Amino acid sequence: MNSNIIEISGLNKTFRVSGKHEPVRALDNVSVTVREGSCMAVVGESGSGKTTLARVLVGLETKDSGEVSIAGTPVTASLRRREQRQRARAVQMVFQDPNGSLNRRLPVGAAVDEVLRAHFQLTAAQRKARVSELFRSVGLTDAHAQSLPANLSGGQKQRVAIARAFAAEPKVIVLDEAVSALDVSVQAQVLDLLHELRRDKGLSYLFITHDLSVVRTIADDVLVMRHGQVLERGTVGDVLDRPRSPYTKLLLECAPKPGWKPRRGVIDHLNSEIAS
Amino acid sequence: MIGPELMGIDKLELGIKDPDSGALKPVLKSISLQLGRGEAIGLVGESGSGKSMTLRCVLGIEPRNAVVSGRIMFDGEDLRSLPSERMRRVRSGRIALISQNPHAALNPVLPIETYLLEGMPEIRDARAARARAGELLEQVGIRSVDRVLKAFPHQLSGGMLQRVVIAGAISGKPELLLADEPTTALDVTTQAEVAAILDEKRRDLGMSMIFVTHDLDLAAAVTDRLAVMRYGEIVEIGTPEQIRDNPQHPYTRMLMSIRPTLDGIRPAAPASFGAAPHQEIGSIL
Repeated sequence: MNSNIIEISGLNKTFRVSGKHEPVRALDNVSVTVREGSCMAVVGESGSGKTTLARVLVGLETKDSGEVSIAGTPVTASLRRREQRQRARAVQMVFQDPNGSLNRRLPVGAAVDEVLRAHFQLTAAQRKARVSELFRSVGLTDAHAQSLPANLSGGQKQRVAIARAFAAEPKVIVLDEAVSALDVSVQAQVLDLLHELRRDKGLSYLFITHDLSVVRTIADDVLVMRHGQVLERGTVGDVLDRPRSPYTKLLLECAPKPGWKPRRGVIDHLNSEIAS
Repeated sequence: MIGPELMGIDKLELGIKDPDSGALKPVLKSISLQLGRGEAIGLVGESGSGKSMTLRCVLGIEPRNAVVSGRIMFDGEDLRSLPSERMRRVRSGRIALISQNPHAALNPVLPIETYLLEGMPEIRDARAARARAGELLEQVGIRSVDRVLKAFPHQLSGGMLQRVVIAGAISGKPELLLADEPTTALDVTTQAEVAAILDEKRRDLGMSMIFVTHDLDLAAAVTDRLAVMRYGEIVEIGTPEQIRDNPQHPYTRMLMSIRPTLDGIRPAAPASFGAAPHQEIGSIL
């Protein structure tokens, strides 16, 4: 039953950086599999490669080498237009900043309608009904659909971004820090919404975040990355309760929690441990 | 309050005037808060709750179309009625600000050394000033002092820059530090380091602090008391332990219960609570 919806093996990606001779290894021999219907969290700090991994998966970056397949179909650089469109339908992405992905002159309902026009043969009336249904499924109304992004709150805009991702009826949604910029009360609502939609539609998530508490709330499995490499992987219970990598221990130690005090020198101490 | 009073905010109100209708949109509603010498208070709340706007009022840098009433007594003087020249002197010597974005404090075309030296005009001797700048950087845990002094802001990481800004803020030994989400833009490991440095330096130098953040656990770790804000009001003030173990206001209880935690215990989110109904005014700088 548990077939893999995403299979990535030996993925490499380097970037040339101006002023530096050596290219930066953003992804260094990364392998991940995501089971169908599960939520895989990818955790790491700035420069860990977590966003590059997401961008390669949705086709916003091309890989240097390695294998990537979604629902059994290999993703290659030379996809034909039709295959690109199929891939775009299969994998949708939600970004941290909804403002960056919504046209500020376009009512948000029209933004969702664009996706329906791109992927489905529907009449105008069918699309209108579908847009309303999608807005309802993320807790918004037709009145919200008529609004411009500027007239919605951050949480509402992120719901629109999620509705739009769902419009393509994808198999996988890649969420890149999708709840990080939200207030805790709004974040809780969006996390609940994501949880519900996954349960009802049998979707899979690749959930990129720096926040281990969010990982605990939403994910089944977790991958810890640093400097482009995978340091640890396992179920959420294994990694958060019984971390093996010193770096995972450092992340857990540094996360604020009740009764916690920040301590100086923790980074240096664990850096030396990780290096050795 | 801990220690004798350094600052007392008394019934501070702020409204933003709509340029067309002239109507006042309330942003702060009767904020009262006493801060002792050497005491640290955390202002916690969600977007639009008025945390940053409170800091802006203390510094006298509220938006142009704001209408403000109430008093902010600082060491016996009302900052709101101080002539601008005297207010400037308070801002330059007695109160220091650390904002979320260190780039806002640093000139991109000048090296770090210049930034730190500008803050110590009282030291006439150039060599002594440079030695003092190096000493300040060492205090905030920077080891490669010479490299950092010569560096330009774009050559340093966010965590490094925030340490430089803290070094600049403490160099004049101000009585009050205003920290507006100072670690929010940093990675979690860097946040722990920078928060520890800020906490240690503040205690060593006996400074008071107002620490603005959306993160209750972080605020609890570096302050003596927490003030929970919502819709421009302080709904509850208490020690971090009181707020954690025995929150009184329903909003505080909601905030404590719905945030995701490392142990994963969290009830479903309420349908609507929290973030302000009106548009956000923005952070301090």
